[in-house]
Amino acid sequence: MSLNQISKKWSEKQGVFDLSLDLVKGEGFALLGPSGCGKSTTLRMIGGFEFADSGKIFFWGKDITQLPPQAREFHTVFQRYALFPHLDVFENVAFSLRVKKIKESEIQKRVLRFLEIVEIPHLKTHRISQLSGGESQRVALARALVSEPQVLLLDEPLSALDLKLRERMQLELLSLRKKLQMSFLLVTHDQQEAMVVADRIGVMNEGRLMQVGTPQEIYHSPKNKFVASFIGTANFLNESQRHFVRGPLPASLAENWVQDWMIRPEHLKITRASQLSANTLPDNGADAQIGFDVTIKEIAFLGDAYLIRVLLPDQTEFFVKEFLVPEYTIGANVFVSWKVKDTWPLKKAQ
Amino acid sequence: MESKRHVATKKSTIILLLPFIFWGVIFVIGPFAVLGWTSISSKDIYGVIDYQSFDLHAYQSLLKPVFLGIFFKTFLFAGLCTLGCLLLGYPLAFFLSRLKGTLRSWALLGILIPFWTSFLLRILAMFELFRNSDGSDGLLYTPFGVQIAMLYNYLPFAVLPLYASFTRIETSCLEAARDLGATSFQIFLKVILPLSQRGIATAVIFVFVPSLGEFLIPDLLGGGREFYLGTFLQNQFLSARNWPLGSAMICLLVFMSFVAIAFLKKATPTSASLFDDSGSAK
Repeated sequence: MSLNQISKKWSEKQGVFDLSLDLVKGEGFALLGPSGCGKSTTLRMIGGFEFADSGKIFFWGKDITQLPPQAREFHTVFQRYALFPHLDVFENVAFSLRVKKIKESEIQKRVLRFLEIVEIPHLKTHRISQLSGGESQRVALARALVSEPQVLLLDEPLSALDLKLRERMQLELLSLRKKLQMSFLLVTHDQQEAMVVADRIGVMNEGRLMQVGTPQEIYHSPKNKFVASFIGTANFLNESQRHFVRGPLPASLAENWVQDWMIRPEHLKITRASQLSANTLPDNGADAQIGFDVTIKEIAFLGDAYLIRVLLPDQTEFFVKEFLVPEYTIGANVFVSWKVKDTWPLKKAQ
Repeated sequence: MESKRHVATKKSTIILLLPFIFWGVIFVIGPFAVLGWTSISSKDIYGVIDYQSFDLHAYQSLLKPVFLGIFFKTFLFAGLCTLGCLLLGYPLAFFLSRLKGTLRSWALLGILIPFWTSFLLRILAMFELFRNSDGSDGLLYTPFGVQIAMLYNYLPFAVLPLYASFTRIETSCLEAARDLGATSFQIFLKVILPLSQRGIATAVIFVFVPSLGEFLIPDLLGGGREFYLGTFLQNQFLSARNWPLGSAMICLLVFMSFVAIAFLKKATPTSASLFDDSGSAK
C-alpha cells in the first residue's frame, strides 16, 4: 500500500498535510502522535470513511482513493469497538460473512475458528452488554479478522482498557499478527503500544509525518526534538549550555554540533563530584565519557528504577534513570556523566 | 445499617408517590370503575341509569353490523395514520439524529414548535387550507382530509421516540457495518432496523392508541359526516343519552388498546421493557 501526498484540511492547523507513506505486505505499522495530530484522519482515509482533498492512495498499484469502505479489503477495529448491540457475540463476528452470503456451514466454521484464536469461544452466545472491556476488544478483533482482510486497521484499539489489560493485549496483538501474517496499521498515542506491536513506527505531529523507522531508530536516533521528546524521556543540551560540559569532547561531536544534543536518562550516570573530576574521566575511544556538575532536585521511585531530577547551574532540568538505590540526598552536588557515543546530535529545525 | 437505610428509602418512596396514587385513584381508577359499572347497567327511555340492575344489553348491541363497521373503520383509519406517521417520521427522525450540534437543536425545535401551538388553532388553520379558493369544500369534510389532518397532528408523536432510539445508534456502528462490507440496504436491514425496533414500537403506540379515540379532528374536519369511534362516543354520551352503550364501547376500546400494547411488547425482541432507556449501546 502506498499513500501519495494525501491531504485533508480541517482547519489551518488541523488536518493531514502532504503525507506520503509506503507499507510493506505483512508488516505492522504504527502511526504514533499526540491527539489531534491527524493520525486518526489518516486511518479513516485509508479505511474509506473520509476522502482526501488531494493526493492518492494505492493498494497493490490500484488507485483506491475514492472507493467506499465496503469496496476495500481492509477491516477496522474501532476505538470504542462499535460492536452491534442487538447481536450476540457469534453474530457480531459473523456479520461480514453474512453480508457476503457465505454458506452457513462455512460461517459456523470460520467464526468458531476466530473466536478460538482470540480465546473467547465460551462467550459465543453472550450479549454484547454482558462483556467486559477486554472481551469486547477480542470480539471486535475477531469480527474484523474473520473475513481475512488484506490489511487490518486499528484505531486506538486498546485505549479504553486499563493498564494491566492493555499491556497484556499489546503482547497478544503482536503474537496474533505473527500468527496470521497479516498487515497491521495501528493508530495510537501510546508509544509503548506502538513499540510493542509494530515493526515500524511513523511519528506524526500537526498533520505531518515527522519520522518513519523501526522502534529502535525512532528511540535512539530521532530526527528532531519533537520525536525525541514524544518517545520516552529525553534530555536536551543546547549550544549555550555547552560550556558546562567537561571532559574530552571528541572532534566528531564538536564539529557535528548542530542544534541540540539528546541524551536518554538511562545513559546518564551520577557520581559524587568529589570522586571525579574532568581529567579523571576515561578517554579511551568509544567509551570516552563527558559530563557536568549538577544539583539533585528530586528522587522518584518507579519500582524498577529511580528517576532523578537534577538541575544544571542555569536551572535546566535533566532526568537521570538509575537502577541502583541512590546514595545521595536532595540538594547534593554531584557529577553526571555519559558516554560520548550515547550523545545524539539533533539536526537544526528547518 | 444497610437494611435500615433500605426501609427508609422505601418509606420515602411511598410518600413521594402519594400524590400520584391519590390522583390515579380519583381520576383514573375511580371513573373507570363507574364506566364499567354503567356499561352493565340498564337505562330507561329517557337515559336515566339504574345502577341496581344487571344488563349486558349494551355489549350485545356492540355486535350489530353498524357498530362493527364503525370499529372497523376506526381501526383502519388509526392504522393508516400510524403507517403514514412511520413512513414519514422514520427517515425524518434518522436524518435529525445524524445532524450535529446547534443544527440538530434548531431542527428539533422546528418539529416541536407546531406541537406547542394550540391544538384547536392548528385544526382551524387546516379548515382554511383544505377549502378551495372559490369557497367550495375541497378536501374539507372528506375522509382523506381527516386522514391528512390526523397525520399532521400525530407526526411528532412518531418522530420523537424514533429520534430517541436513533440517537442511541452510534455512527461508528454504521461505519463498522460499512467497513465489514455491508451495502447501504444491508446496513438498514441488519443494523438500523433492529436497533430502532423499540423506537418503532413506541411510536406505534404513541400514534395508534390516541388516534383510535380521536374525535375532534373527524368531528370538525369530517363535518360529522363520518362516524368514528370518537365521534360516536361523544354522540352516545351527549346526544343519544345512551350511556351504557358508550361505556361498553369505551371498555372495549381500552381493552383493545391494552391488547395492542401487550402485542407490541411481545414483538420487541429484548427482555427489557418497551420504554426502558437502559440496555442501550454502551
